[in-house]
Amino acid sequence: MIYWIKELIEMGDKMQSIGNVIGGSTEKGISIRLKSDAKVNIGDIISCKNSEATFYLKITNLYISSSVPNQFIEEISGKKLEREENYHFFDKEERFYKIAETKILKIKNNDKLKPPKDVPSYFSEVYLANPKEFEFLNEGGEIEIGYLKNEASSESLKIKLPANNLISHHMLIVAATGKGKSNFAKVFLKGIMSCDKYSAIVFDPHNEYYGGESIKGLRDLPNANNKVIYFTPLTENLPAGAEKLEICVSDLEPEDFFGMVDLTSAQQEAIALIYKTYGKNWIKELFEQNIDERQKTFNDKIQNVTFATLKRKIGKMLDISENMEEGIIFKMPSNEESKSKTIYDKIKEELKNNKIIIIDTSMVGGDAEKIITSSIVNKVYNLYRYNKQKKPKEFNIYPEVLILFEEAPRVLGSEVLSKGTNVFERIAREGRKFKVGLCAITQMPSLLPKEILSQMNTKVILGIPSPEDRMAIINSSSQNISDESLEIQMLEIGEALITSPFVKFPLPVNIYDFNQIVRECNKDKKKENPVNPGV
Amino acid sequence: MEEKRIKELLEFIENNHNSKSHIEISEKDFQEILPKLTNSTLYAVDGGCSIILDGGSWIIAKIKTCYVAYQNTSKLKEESNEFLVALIKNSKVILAKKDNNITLLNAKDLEDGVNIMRSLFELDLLKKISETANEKDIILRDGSLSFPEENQEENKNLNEIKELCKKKNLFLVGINKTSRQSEGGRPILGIINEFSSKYLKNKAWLYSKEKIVKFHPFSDFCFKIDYENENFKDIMSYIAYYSSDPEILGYPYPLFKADKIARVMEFEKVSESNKIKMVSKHLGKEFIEFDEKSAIFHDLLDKRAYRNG
Repeated sequence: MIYWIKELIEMGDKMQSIGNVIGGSTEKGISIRLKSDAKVNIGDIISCKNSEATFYLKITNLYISSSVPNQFIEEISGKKLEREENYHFFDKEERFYKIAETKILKIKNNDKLKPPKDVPSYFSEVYLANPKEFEFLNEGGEIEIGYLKNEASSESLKIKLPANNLISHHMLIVAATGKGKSNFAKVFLKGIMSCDKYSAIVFDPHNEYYGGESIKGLRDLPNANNKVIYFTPLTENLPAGAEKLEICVSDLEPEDFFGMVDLTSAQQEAIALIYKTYGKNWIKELFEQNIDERQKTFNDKIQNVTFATLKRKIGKMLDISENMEEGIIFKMPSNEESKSKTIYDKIKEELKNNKIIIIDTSMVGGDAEKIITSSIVNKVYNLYRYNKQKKPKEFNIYPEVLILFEEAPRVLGSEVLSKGTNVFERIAREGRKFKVGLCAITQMPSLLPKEILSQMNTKVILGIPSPEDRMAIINSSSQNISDESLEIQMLEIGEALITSPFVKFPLPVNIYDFNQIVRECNKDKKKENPVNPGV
Repeated sequence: MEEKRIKELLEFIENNHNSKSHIEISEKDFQEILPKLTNSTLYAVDGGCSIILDGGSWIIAKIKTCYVAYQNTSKLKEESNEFLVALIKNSKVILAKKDNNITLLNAKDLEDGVNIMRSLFELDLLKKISETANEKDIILRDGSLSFPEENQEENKNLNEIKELCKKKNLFLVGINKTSRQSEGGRPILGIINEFSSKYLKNKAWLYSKEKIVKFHPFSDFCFKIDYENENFKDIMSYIAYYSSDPEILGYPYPLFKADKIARVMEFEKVSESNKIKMVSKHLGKEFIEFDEKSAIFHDLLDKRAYRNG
């Protein structure tokens, strides 16, 4: 109580009433008549003092209103238009004004935050919220992502998301093209790097996360050498610290294919049977065996045509020709390679070191990319599951890991999952038990099944113009954001609305510009945090 | 049949005022006025009243008075006062209780008594403004600047105010929304308005002979003005500036504003009435309830009719 009074006194000078409560309910929100000089926007957070309680309100809609009856207004307008009469309005500010519709975010009473179960009384004064009031938002916060978006306020509050649990409870980054999905992902990954107690695997189909000559990436951050590992199929001009992305086909398992690439049930059964028969050498055998050998091994359990189709399909997927000429990533097993560390072994090692592992898939086609992704994710997920059940001590050594991938509907879309489950779906459903979290990026959340959307507990919304996609996100959010539809539609580049069970209320945030972060870091490498907000 | 009856009525009116000679009107008697800005403050004073409880031989009324002050386009001040008054008719005498004073009113009936009380409160406020206003300020009163001879107290107070205004060089203006002043069976305002609509179309003007003014070119109304000072045209030009608000075109906006504030709204009436009834019950004044029943049945009928309608 005393603390609260002190806080009020401290803020006293800055607090200037911007409006009065004129009605509302807990269900429909609070209506506020705004003062003529109040400058507020949709999405701004304002506060309302009501005896001992402070109501934090978010503006969800704005409209104009007047004490002059509508009929008069139309008549006056007609006269102005048709007769070109000029009038002089007296007390214009009193008679023509703006109404803000708001939703109650939280109620602060005796220093405790409570859900919106009460309403302020008529004529309660409304103020611009001071960002300092929202310091409670950063309780447990670790990953700094930007500033609390409040255009009405000249001051700003840095927002930190609590990574613990948030990572393993999955994230969805959703936005239209160019709204800043990759920027947010990079900022978030930078935060993970700074924490040094989480890890991430990034599947990068556009080769933008590690960085290059024309694009800033994680490699441009001061601690990149120790914290980032980059796997790329490039053979020449490998950047310093990069590793060659090569996968031995003997490390691929049937489940890396199932639910990821287009296979008939007969083909899936055939793969399972071949794998059961030959184990790790199943792909090698698929390519090497002739018809007689196959018939001898499988009798008539696999038809010749199925075999032939599988060979052709898998060959195409893995970029291996009929006469076993290898492509850039998938290699046939050899004795030498079997002794060396595989990419999976390296990844497992680096996970323990809390590193960000970036897999550059920009040079391979759709199916190959899916198989690379799926095989790595499968291995990592199985490792975590195994450790939890069989090696609890080892399990504790491994950090929470975030698996970041783009174009989420390709692996988690309703259409894909209707043909069979895959590792991503399994992680979405139960990954949190094993400290494995997904960070799915998409432009079209409506293509994801409702169950999957609901599993993505944290949603980073960066502007969705399509009503269908907006509704999909609103309906699956862990916090009620049904009133924020307009705000979501109007989010500008770099502005985000973040809903999560791990934040106190849906957060409007101006996400840092990653390029700016890099510039600031390189200006003075000792400096950890960026100075300027926004994209 | 209906049309015939209406025609007969209209002809009756027309024949009767046409049979008498009209006042002589000439275009020369009109002067066009153009809105002018002044640095002086313009005050507008108004009052409103409503009967809260009607006990047949007594009433309790709510009276509100208000003034607003404008300078150029900005409102400088706004102040309102509220009073509850009780009036009782005992034999032929009407007594009113205002604060601790009991006044004997020269009123025809209780309703008239309430209006007199409202005028007295309004005059109190007018006096207060006159005392604080600065030289050349304009004070508008909603209504006339004279009372019937028998209203001695109002006249006495008003004369004091007029004297004060004269002394301080303040411009006191009464604006009459309704005027019964007639000539040849027709209201003068009607005659002048009709004439101006033909010869002074889309112009703001003043008719100096009778002090009738139309404040805005596109307004359909003109008003009879009470003004006992010089510079009539200048003052009217200043007021014309304040009469350009489209919500009430041709009427000084400050008076419109004052009227809005001073109006006793229905919800206020209900709330005050409930309050008084609660207090009377608490004090054991049962007569209030019984007396009220002697006068409210008509209201009850109105309400029923309204609901059924």
